[in-house]
Amino acid sequence: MENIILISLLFYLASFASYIKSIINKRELNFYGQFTLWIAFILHTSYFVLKYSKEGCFSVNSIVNALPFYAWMLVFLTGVITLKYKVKTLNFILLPIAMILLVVKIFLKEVQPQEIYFSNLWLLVHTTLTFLGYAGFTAGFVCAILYLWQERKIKKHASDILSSKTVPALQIVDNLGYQSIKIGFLFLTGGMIVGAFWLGNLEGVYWSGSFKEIFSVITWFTYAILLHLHIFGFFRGKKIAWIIIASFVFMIFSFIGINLLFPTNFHN
Amino acid sequence: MNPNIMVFGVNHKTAPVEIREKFSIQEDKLIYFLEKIKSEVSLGECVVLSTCNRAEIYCTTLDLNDTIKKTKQFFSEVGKLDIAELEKIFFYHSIPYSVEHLFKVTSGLDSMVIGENEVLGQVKKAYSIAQANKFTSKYLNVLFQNAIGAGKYVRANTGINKGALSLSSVAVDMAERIFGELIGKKVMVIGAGEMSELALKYLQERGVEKVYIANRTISRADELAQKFNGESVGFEDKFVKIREIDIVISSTSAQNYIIHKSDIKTIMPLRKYRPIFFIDLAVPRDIDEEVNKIENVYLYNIDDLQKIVNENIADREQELEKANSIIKERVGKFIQWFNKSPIPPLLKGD
Repeated sequence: MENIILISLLFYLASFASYIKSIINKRELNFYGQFTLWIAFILHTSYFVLKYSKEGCFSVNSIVNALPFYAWMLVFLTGVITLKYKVKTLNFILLPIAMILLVVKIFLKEVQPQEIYFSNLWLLVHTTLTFLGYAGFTAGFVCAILYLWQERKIKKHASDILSSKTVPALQIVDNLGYQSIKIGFLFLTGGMIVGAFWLGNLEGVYWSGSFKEIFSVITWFTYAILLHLHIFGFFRGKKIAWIIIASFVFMIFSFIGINLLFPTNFHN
Repeated sequence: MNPNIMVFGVNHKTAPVEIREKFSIQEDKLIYFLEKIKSEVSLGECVVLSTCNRAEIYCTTLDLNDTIKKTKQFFSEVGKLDIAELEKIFFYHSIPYSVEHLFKVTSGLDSMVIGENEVLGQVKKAYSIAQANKFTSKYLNVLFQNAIGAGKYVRANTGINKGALSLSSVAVDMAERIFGELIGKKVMVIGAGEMSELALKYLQERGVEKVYIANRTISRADELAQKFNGESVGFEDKFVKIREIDIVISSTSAQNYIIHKSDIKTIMPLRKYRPIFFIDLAVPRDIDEEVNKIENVYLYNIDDLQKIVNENIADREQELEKANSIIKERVGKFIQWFNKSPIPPLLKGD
């Protein structure tokens, strides 16, 4: 079944190659690029379906197993953004991130889950919401990088600033990043609440005080502060972009770093 | 014998505007002109393309030398020039160069501003008038339809018409690079110069919501405000207004800066750091370049805009090679068809 991930990765690669070509030629993504992307996404989705039907439980049950799901969310989000905002460049950066996650998954050994914890609906909802949140923050992070890159060019009066139409306007990237984080924040909040209830159901307490929980709450607060700074207009533009990048680093740490540092942790 | 396809006339490459204007033909006189030239020069099919840059006749003929001689005579009468004078500015091409010429014209490669779009519409119009009045038949119909198709294809598949080439339009493109769509944005013009008026026109075309004019002479501000359906603002009140403005165009004749870093720094918290774009079209400059260092403030002066214009020109020139190879291929296909096509009955008897 792991071969499905590999084949799907190959199709993502083929599609990404078309993306590069389309950006170099300043054209729209061709049929071949779109077709391979769809195939890759369908294969990627079928991986979860097959795994569920075989194991009878949702497969996001360890850090390694969670990676394909995170990647799937990113591709899903990429599709939504492309359809809604017609922003090509974001895909250009989000797709490789998804591909790297799949490569890591292929090379790392699968961890056997503790059945007692993972065979239920709570997990499905908790992880889906949390990963939707992570996907939103990742899109926000990519927008922040695009923003800083473009802002610098505009400030420096780069003569080729108008030549590349593939990067959306500064304010659009800014707004897209903000919207992604807003949506990500809502999902993360939902994911954390469901997680707390799940724990309450399982062990009778809503807070176990694990590092994962502590850092998740810190991440949640970082994004909450960021959103408020933006809403009240204290910070805008470059400063917000840097805070988004810092928050993302925090998010990655609470998602992956904690699990690697404390392998005995409940979440691992 | 197959007829030849010819083009002759004057254009911006051969004659200055004071000569070209002598051959300018009003649209309502085009049919009369077509009839006249067709009978006097005894042409087969015929299309007249008259724009501010060119007066060109596309036609089919069986006797090349006779047509050249007669058209020169005809043009010298129309332009009231003697033949010797006309010889210096008159050009003609026969197949395949005549075909190539039209393909280049429709693609914007023969235009003053490479890749400009207007000429394609002008060719379409010239052709549809000639066709509707039965001045064209088999050869020119196929030729013009192919040339118009090539013009569209070249524009869609190369960057020949991409990138603005005037300071005002580059300024507007820059505004779009910063804000995205300009719908709902507010603009203020300080000092009502000609160039800022042009920029204002482009900005309005792209959907800016409100226009404010601040000028030392209030009557001129009122005049411009009326023209653009805007509002005039007292020159001293400009900083109060800037709080709600997205784009500021400045082009006063002041000898010193009229907008300093400290002025804008105080305004930014009041506008909750929303981005603002300053376009300084004045020489000497109106806005201290230090303003560009403030966060979320973008300042472009004439030299910065010119740098982008130059880049756009270079970009278009790079696309020339691609456009030329498309044209070469399409001209080749047309010539192939032309050589194979049977002689239409109308021309057989000529």
